[in-house]
Amino acid sequence: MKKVDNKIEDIFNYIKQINGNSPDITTRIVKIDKKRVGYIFLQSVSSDDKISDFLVKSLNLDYKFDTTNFFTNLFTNLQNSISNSNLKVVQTNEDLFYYLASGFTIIVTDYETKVICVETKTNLDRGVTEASTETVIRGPKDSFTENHMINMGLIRKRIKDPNLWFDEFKIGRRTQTKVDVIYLKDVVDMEKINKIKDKLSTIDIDGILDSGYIRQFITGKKTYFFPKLLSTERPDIVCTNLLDGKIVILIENSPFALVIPTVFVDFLHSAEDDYQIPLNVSLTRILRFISLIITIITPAFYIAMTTYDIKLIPSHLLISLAAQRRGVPFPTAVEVILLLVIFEILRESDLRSPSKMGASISIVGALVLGDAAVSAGIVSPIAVIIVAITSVSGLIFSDIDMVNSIRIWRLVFLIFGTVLGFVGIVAACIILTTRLASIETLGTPYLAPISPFNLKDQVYGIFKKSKMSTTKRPNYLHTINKTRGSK
Amino acid sequence: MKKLKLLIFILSIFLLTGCWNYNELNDLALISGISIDKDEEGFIVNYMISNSSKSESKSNSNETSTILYEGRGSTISKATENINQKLPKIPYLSHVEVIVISEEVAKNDMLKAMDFLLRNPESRKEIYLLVSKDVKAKDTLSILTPLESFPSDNIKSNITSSTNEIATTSTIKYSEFLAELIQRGIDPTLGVIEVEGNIERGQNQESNDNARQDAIIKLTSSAIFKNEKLVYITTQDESTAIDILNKKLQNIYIETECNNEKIVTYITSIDAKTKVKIENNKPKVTIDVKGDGSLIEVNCKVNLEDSKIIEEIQQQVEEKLKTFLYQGINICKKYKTDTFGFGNKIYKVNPKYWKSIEEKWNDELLPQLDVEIKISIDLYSKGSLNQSIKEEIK
Amino acid sequence: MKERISSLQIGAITWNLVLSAYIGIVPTILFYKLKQDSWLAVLLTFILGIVIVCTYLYIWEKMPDKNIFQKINCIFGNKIGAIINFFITITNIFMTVIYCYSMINFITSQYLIKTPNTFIIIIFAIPVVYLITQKLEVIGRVFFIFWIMSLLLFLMTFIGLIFQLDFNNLLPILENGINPVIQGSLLIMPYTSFILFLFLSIPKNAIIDKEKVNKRVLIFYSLAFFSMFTGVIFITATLSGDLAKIYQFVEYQVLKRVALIGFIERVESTLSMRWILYIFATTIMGLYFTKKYIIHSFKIKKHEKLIISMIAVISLLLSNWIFPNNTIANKIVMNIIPYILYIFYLLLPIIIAIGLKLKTKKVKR
Repeated sequence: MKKVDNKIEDIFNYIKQINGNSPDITTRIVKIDKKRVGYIFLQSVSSDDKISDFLVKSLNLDYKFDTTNFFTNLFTNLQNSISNSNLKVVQTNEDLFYYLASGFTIIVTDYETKVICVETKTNLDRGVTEASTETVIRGPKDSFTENHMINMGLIRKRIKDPNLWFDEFKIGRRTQTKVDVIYLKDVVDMEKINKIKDKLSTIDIDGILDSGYIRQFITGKKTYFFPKLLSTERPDIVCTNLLDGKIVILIENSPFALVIPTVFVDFLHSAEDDYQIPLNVSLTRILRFISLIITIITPAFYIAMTTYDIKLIPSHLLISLAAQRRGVPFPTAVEVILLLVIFEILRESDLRSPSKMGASISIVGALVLGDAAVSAGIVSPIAVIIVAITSVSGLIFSDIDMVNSIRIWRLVFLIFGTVLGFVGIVAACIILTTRLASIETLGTPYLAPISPFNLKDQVYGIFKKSKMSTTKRPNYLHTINKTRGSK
Repeated sequence: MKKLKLLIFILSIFLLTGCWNYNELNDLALISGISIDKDEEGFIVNYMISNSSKSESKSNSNETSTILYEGRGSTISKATENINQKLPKIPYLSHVEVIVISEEVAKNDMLKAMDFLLRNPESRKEIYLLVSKDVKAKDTLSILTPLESFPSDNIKSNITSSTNEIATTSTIKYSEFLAELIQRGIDPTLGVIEVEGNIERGQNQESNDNARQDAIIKLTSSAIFKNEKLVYITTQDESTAIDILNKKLQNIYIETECNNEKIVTYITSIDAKTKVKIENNKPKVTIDVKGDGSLIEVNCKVNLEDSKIIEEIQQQVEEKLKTFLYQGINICKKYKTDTFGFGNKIYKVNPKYWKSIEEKWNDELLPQLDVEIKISIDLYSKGSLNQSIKEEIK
Repeated sequence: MKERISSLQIGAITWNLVLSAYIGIVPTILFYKLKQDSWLAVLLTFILGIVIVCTYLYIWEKMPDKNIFQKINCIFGNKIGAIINFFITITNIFMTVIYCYSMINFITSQYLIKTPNTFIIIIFAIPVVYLITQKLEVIGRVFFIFWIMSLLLFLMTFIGLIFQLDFNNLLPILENGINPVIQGSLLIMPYTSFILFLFLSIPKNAIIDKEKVNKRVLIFYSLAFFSMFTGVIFITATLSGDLAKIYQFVEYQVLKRVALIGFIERVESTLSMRWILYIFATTIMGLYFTKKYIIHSFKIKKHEKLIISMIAVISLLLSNWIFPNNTIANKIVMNIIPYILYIFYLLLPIIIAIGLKLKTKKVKR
C-alpha cells in the first residue's frame, strides 16, 4: 500500500490518471496564509452545496499557522467548524478512490502524506416511499430505499435495543458494496451467525448489485426451485423476523433485505398477519394453503380425471364435457399446456410493458383466450376455465421466486398426470414432498414447524394465535433466549 | 451424474408413444343403458349411447338424442363384441345406469348376465336392474319423454321418485341383487318395467310434442326369483305387500267399507320387524307391523268425533292390512321361494339348526311355515276436517 | 454424519408399515377362510402382535448405539453373524418384492388396465430411488406428512361408509368355531406385526427423544390396527360375508359405495391412493434396511447411492416376474410364506433377545 504523495499536483494527477481523466473530477486549490490547500471531489456524487457551505467557508478564514504544525491545525479547525460530517484521515493511495466515489471530498496539502476525507454525499435516491410489491391495507407503509443509511435507520428506529448488532462486510472487488448482517445478539443462535460470516468472507466476485447476488452464495451450490431466503421490502417484516430470532442481511443500493433462515410456511404469511384478528388470519392462511394446492394440482387433476379415470365425473357433466371436446384438434394435455404457456406469456408481458400500454394487452389477452379461441374450435371452454382457476390462485403469492417455482412444479405434475393418471399424480406428490423435505438452510429444515412436528410452534405455521398467547420464540430456530416477555 | 440421470429420465418419456390407458373424452361412447334379450339364435344386446352433440345444443329437432346399437351372439360377450364392431367409438361402461333384462333371459340365463357385468372392472355395481314384461327389453329403452333429454335418465328418475311416494315397486340395485342371490336362505326380487301405449310412435321424438304421450313407462310389479331363475311376476297388490314386508315401502292406501261407502286411510312410516324363533324344533316367524294412519277420504256418514268409531275404523284398517300382507306371504309359499329371507334369519340366529334343515327348507318347510302378522296402526290424524261432511249436512 | 429421526416420525412410519398389508394380502386371506368372523381374527392378531412388538422393542433397547447387524455380529460371532445377516436381508428383499407385487397387481387390475406392468414400475421407481438416496431425516419428514394425508383420507372413508352399515351381516358369529379364527389370525400376523422388524436397522441413539419411542410405537400400532379393524368391519357389514369372498379386491369394492353429503359419489380412486402410499413406505423402509446391511457388511463408503439405487430398481422389476399369475400368488402368500416369516422374524428375534440379555448381564458383572 503506497503512501500518499507529498505534493498536491501529484495526488491530483494520480487520481486523474487512474480514472482516465473522468469529466466529473473537480479540483480546486485554495491559499490559506500563502500555503496551498487543495481539495478534490467527484461532482457526480458530491453535493455542491455542502462543499460550499462547510468547506470553503471554513477554509477561507485568515489564520496564521506554523509551517510545521500546519496539517494538525487545519485538521482541528475543520473538526471544530464542520460539525455534522464524517471525517477520516487516510494514508494509503488505494483507498483514495473509494472515498471519492462514496461522495467524500479529499483535502490535501503539501508536505504531508496524510489527507483528510470529509463526507459531502449528495442525495441520489428517491426517499422513503410506499412499498411497490408488498402492499398492506392497514399497517405501516414505508419501505426500504437504495440508501444504506436510511435503511439502517428504518430498522434502528423500530428496535431501540442496544443488542441489535450490525456486522458490516465490504464485498465485491470493484463495487465494494457494504453488506450488513443484522441480528439481536442475546437472542440469535451464534452458530448460524458464524456460518453466514464464513460464507460471506469467502465471496470472491466482481461486484454485487443487488441482494439477489448474495442469495446464491448463501444457499450453496445446489439449486432448488423453491426460494430458501425471503426477500422483503418492508422494515416491519424485517423487524418481526429479527424479534423472532432470525438473521437479516442488508445490502447497499438494494431496497430488498434478505431474511435467513426461512421455512416454507413463511411464504404463506403476509405482512398484515400480525395486525389483524388471529382467527381471521388463520382462516386466510388456510385459504392460501388450499390455493397453493389448487394451483399446482388442478391441471394435472383435470387431465387425469377426463382421460384416465372418467368414472369420477357425474353423468350429466360428462355428456357436456364430451360435447365440448368435439372438434378440438389437440389432445387434452397439449391443449392445457398451450393455454398455460399463453397465460404465462400474457403475465410476463403485463409485467414488462409500461403502464400506458398495459390495459390494451390485458383486453386483447382476454378476448383472444376467451371467446375467439373457443369459437374457432382451437380449445374447449372447460380447459380455459381450468387454466384460469389455476393461474388466478397462483397469483396469491407475492414472492416472485415462489411463483416461478410453482410454475415449474405445475408442469411436472402435468407430465406425470398425463403419463399415468392418478397414480402419476401420487408419484409426483411424493417427489415434491421429498424435495421439500430435503431442503435445509443453516440447519433449519424447510418444512418446520410441520415436519419435525412441534405443537407449540404451530402458531408460526398455519394457525395463528393472538400476540398475548404467543410468548415463546419458534423452537426450530434454536434461539438462546426463548421467551419474549420478562419470564 | 445428476445430469445423466435427468437425461435418461427425459429420454424415457419420449418412448411413450401411446399411454395405454389414455382416452380422450370424445373418443368414448358413453353407454347409459343396456338391454339383454334372447331369441332362437342367441343373445341380443343393445347399448343405449348418448349422442352428445345433439343433447348439448338442446334444439327441438326431430332427431333423437340417443342411439341404440344392437349386437347378436351366442354368448353375451360375443354379442357385445358384435356391437363393438359397429360402434365408431370405444365403449365405456362406467356410467351405465340401467340394465333391462327380458323375461326369457331372466327365466334361464340370469347368471350369464351377472358374470359378464361383475367381472368387468370398469363397471360400477350401483346399476338399477329391471325385468321387462310383455315387451322386448330394447323397446323400453327407446321410449322418450319430453322432460328428460335421454331415456335412461327417465327410467332412473322414475324409479327413484317412485320409491318415496306411494309407489308400487321397489328399486333394486345390482349389488343388492347379487347379495341376495349369494346369501343363503334368501331369494332375490327385481322390479318390472312395462310399456303402456303404442311403442312405435313413442320412439319418435314427435310424440313428445303432443300433450298426451303415446307410450308411457310403468313400474308396477315385481319379479320373484328362485335362486337365479324367474318364477313369477306379481300383480300390483302382491308387489306392494312384498315390498312392505321387505321394508322397502313405507306408505300405503287402505280402503275400508262403511255403509256401502268407502273410507280411505293413508298409512305412513310402516315398519315391519321380522323375528324368527325356533320352538319344538320348528321355526316360527312373527312379523310386527307398526304404522301411523291418517284419514284421507271419508265418504259415509259417521261421527268422527266418537272415539269408539275411530277405534272401529282402526280395527277395520288393521284387518284389511293383514289380509293384504298375507297375500305376499302366500305367493312366497306357493312358489317355494324365500323372498323375505326367513331362512337367512334362521341362519344368522342359529347356524347349526340351519345346517340341519338346509336341504329341506325351500321345498318342504317353507310352504308349511307358521307366519304370524301382528299389526298395530295408530290412527292419529283426520286431516283438516274434524267431522265427515255427510254427517254435518244431515 | 449422524442421522437423526424423531419419535413422532417413527410412529407415523409404524402406521404406514402395519397398514401396508391391507391391500391385497390381509382381506384375501381373511375373507377366504373366515367370512364374517374376520374382525375377530384382526382383534386376535392385535393382541398377539403386541407381544411380538414388545420383543422387538426390547431388542432395540439393548446396545442403543448399534443397529441389528452389529448386534448379531456381537452375539453370534462374525462368521455365523454374517450368514444370519445375509438371510435376514434376503427375506426382507423378498417381502418387499411381494408387497410391490400386490400393489402393482392392484393398479393394473383396477385402474390402468392396458398399461404394461414394467411401465408402472418405472414410474414408481423414480420417487423410490429419489427418496432412498436421501438422509434418514428426510425420510422421517416425508412419512410424517403422508401420515397426515392418509389420516384425512381414512376419515373421509369412515364418514362416507358409516351410514351404510348393517350389523346384521356380522351374524352368525363363530359359525365354524374358534379354530379357523386362530388359524386366520396366525396367518396374517407375519404381514402386519413382523414388518416392524425393519425398525431395528436404526440404532436407538439416532432417535432424538428416545424415551418416548416405545410408547409412541405402541400407540400408533394400536391406531393402525383400529383402522384395519374398522376397514374389515365395514367390508363385512356393507357387503355381506358371502359377497366379500367372491371379489378380488374387496376393500376397493366397498369404497365404491361411499356417498358423502350426497354428491361426492365416485371417489374410490382418490380414497384408495393412501394404500399406494403405505406400500411405498414399506418399500422405502425395506430398502433402507438393505442399504444398512450393505454399508455394514461390505464396508462401502463411496458409491453407496448408486448401488442402492440399482438394488431398488432391480427389486422393483423382480416384482413383475416373481409370480406367473394371480392364483399361484394367492396360494403362496397364504400357505408358504408365513412359515418362512415365522422362522426369521419370530424365532430369530427371540434368540437374539435371549442372547442380548445374557450379554448385558455379563457386562454388568
